Amino acid sequence: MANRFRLADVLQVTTVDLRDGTLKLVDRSWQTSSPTPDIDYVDLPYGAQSKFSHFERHLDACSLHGFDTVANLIAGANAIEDALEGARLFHDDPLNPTSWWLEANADTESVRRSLLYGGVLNYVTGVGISPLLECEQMLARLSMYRHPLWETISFTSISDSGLSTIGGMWTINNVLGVPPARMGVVEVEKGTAGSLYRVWMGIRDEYISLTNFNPLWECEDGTNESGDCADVGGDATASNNTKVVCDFSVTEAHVIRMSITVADIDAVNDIDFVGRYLILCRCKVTAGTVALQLKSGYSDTAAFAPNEIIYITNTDWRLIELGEVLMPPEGYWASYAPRLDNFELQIFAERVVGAGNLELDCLILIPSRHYVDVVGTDIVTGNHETRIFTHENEEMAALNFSGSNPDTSPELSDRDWYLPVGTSALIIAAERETIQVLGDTVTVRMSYVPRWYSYRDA
Amino acid sequence: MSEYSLRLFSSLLGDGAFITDLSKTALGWRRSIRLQGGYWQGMFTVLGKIDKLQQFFYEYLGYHVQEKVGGLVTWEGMVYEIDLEVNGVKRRRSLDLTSNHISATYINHLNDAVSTTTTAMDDQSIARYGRKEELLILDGFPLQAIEARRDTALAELAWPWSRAVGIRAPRIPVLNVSVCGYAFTMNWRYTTQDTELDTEQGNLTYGATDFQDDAQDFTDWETAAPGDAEYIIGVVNDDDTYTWAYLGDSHAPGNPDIVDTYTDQGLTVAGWNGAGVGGKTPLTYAVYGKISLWLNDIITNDCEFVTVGRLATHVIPVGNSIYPARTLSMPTRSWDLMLELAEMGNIAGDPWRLYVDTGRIAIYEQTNLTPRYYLRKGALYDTVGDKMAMSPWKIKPAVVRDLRYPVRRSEAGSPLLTDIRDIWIDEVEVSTARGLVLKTGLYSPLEQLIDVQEWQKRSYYAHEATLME
Repeated sequence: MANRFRLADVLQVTTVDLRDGTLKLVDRSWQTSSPTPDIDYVDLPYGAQSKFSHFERHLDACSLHGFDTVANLIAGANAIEDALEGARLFHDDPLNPTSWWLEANADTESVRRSLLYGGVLNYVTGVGISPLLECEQMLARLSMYRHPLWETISFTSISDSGLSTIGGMWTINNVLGVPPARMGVVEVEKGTAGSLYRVWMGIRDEYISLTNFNPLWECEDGTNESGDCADVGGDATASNNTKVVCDFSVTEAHVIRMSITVADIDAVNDIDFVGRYLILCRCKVTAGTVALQLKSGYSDTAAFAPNEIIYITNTDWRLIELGEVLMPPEGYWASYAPRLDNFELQIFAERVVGAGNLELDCLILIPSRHYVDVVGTDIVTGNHETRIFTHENEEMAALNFSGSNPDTSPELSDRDWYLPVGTSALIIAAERETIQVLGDTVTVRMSYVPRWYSYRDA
Repeated sequence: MSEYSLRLFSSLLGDGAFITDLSKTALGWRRSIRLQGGYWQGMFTVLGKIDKLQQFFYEYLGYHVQEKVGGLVTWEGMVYEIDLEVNGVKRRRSLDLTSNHISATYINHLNDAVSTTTTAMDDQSIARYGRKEELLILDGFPLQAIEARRDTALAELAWPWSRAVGIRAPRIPVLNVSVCGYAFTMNWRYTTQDTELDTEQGNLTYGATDFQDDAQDFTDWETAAPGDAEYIIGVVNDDDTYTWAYLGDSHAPGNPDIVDTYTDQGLTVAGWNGAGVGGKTPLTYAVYGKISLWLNDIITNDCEFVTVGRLATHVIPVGNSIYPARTLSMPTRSWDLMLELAEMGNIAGDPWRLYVDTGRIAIYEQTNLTPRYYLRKGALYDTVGDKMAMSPWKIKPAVVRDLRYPVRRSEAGSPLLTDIRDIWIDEVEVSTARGLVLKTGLYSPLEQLIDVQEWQKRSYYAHEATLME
């Protein structure tokens, strides 16, 4: 493909060719670079620790020259200024849908584009050149503020169906690019009857491996700790037909009830569980109020890291957010190969009000590094779905759709909702408004654009 | 992309529906959490077009704000006060300036008795914002004048009308929003005094292990023995001595006017404390309820937005064994009273705390003096060995152990914090501008001003350095 350098609207309907148009790019005058990272540093005596904050918006500049009739030179300049104004309006007015882009590619490179925020056209004066165009020549310096990253023109669409709503896992492969990709839209649609009200989705980086990662931890695979907790089978509403029931007959106090280690789930491939997770617990009480608390750490640790105490009163199965954990808690370092088989999650519980039992079904590990949760969805089989948008200006929004019509606006909470390059796994959990039903499944469809710092390598 | 999500919902008195995501529009978001009180105050600024700012200004007062980090609610509160500055004129709408349920107390000169007028209220304002009470203290006027003053006050304060607060040189339109935790709403009402534990008394008789008042029914104040006594009885004898005991079972249904007494809170040793009963004649007595019971009644009766979460642990080797009298000599706002009760601690000298947690539930518990966080290299960690610092948005007031403090020993005497490295944090403030600020009881507004000036100075020099590059 021949090289390209132009301004274009989002649908490529209106374009301004800066390479072969009326105002042409002066040879080798385009100045650009890979994005500038904004990094916060903590200085130490013999070095520093850093934390990435964001990429700065980018300033590209180039020189344009035109040698034509005055009318054509004016038209050429106006076309550029129309594009800059279009970019300004897009960011200024939420009702203006037309974004503007700088498109470019080297010879044999596929086209890439970067979102424009605005720009300036400086009319340069020189010998035989003036803004009054007496000599039918124009020399201009175009400065463009653009998005720090380049992305593809078209979206890549993928999907998966039949995902369980208690930790359904979708492995996503071959995501191109350098920084994480932007997921233009993620749609969640239901595969079974009943309306889903809340959805959690997290995307886990591959780290060491995803092959044996299991986000669903059955509580009965752990250890009952307080003497008044026991595995109870034969409950078809519980995952694996089995749950842990705590009747508080030994003590009602806030003590450890259940523990579970990575080794209880997979003693061989423990390293596949490296990650940062929001822990959901599928649980209920038979009556009253029970206080739950999640703690985490290595099994022999004296002090486990506590999360906040959560009070539950639901008598139907619900997914309760217990807190976040980092596995391993000290991070993962190349200088040694940590093992996770001794990493342990503990559930503490206290009967606060009434005389009901606590029933624990399973724990679900939702990756929380790239994370989103949506409350107030209305996901029903057929034509009701929820779509989560990440627009080109990084603004996120969620909408419920009935057919092709937006229906309602659910609540959206997100953290770094981007798709890692290479291989990753999307983990999903969902529940209805007052109950989590085991048999509910969903289909997830995603359209994403890979991104690069500068040149595309694919 | 920010660590937190900030969302706006309609008033919890309505449907609490999701309105909009404020994460990117709320500039300079900062908020605090207090040990006593829980989610405390927050503020942010909104810039934009006047029509959008005015919509916020006129519609969103009293709305619910929620901060979430990684799926967990880390702060919530109510939009409490909004300042809108347009063309240099600053206008304010504030729930602080609102009272929609007003009465007045006065001295009735006919009989020198303290009387209270009937209440004037605005039902629509109450339905919209919640009941916010005001009690005018007036004297020296006839009743009609006092009632007129009451009505005038209601007319002035029933709604959070926009009030101009200042004029300055015009600049871009700006909206400053203050949000407050729901602990603030616990001070909207005066405590209802509907339970008099000082009783009408008939003939009083001591038993070795019980007490009789033949005009009384003790079934309301009994606790099954053994157990955790919820009431104590204090008796003044005719010789001015004082005898007291924990109340156990009444002798209902046969003799409800008799109640068993115990020397211990666990109701295992029958008898009396204090001056004893041998040779004593009871003159008068009062019954006192446990703090948690009183707190439960106040929250249930006088707190519209907060519900009872957990007011006492059921594990009671010690429990909270202070039993205050439930009589108030003057009208007292509910949070002020509850804070006073919580700060009493318990008989053993342990500190207790009362706070409003996520979901607007009230928690009353003994303050945990075990280090919750560990301070190392200027950041807080969950455990001693953790390498990943905690998000500042998840930090709550607790005891912090400073691992870099070079001295490791105990203080003399019997301090609450036995390790000299431990710091008791009363308030945690987090902001996008300054990050995490931990405040102890000695943190003063002056120090905060110095912090701000230091930050401004660093920002200025950093900016100057940028210009010179």
